[in-house]
Amino acid sequence: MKRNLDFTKLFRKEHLNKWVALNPAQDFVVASGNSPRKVFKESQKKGVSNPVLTFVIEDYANFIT
Amino acid sequence: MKLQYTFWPSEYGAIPFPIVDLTLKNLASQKEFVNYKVLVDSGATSCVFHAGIGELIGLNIKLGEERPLRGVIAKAGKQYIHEIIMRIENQWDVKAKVGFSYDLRFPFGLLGQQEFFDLFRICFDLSKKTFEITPKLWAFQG
Repeated sequence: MKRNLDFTKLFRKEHLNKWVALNPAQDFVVASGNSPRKVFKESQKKGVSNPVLTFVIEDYANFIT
Repeated sequence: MKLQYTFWPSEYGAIPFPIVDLTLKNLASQKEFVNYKVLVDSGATSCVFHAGIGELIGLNIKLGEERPLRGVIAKAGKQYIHEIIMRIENQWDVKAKVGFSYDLRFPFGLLGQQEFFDLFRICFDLSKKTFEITPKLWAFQG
C-alpha cells in the first residue's frame, strides 16, 4: 500500500493539539482525541484495527531536539 | 531500506522530517501493539516515546526506572525506562530499553543513539529528501 508522504493538508482545525489515528495508507484521519488510547479504540470501532497514531500541532517548524 | 522524508505544515511552508513508522509491542504479553510515527533523531541520546503510547500497549509507565529527560531548553522532565519490542518499518524487530515520558513536548517519538543508531547505519540526504536505514549485520545475526 502506498503511504502518504505529505501531511501539510491532511489535518483540520479540530485535529490540532490532539492525537489522531490515521488509516494504514495515512491519507485520512479516522479518529482524533485527547489520548492515544481514545483514538485507538475509536478507530477500531470504525473498522480500522491497525491505525497509525501521531500527535498533531499547528506548526512543525522551529524544533530543536 | 530507503525512505522518503515526510512533509508537515508550518507557517514557513512544508517542513521535511525523516519519520519512521514504528510498531511498539508489549514484551511481556507479546499481544498489545500500536503503530506510531517517530523521528529519526541523531541528537537524541536514547529513544523516547509518549507515555500515552506506552499505556496503550499495557505498560504501567511509572513502574519503570525513573531517569531525567533533558533537552536544549531550560525545563527538564522525567522519563521511565521499559523494555519493549520495536518493529521498525515492519521490517526489523528490536528488543530495546526505551523511555516513556509525560513531559515529551514534541509531536513525534524519538529514535535516538542507544537502541537505534547503534544497531543501524543511517544516511540522510536532505537535498533528495531521502534517508536510508541499513541494519548493522552483527546486530541481527542469531
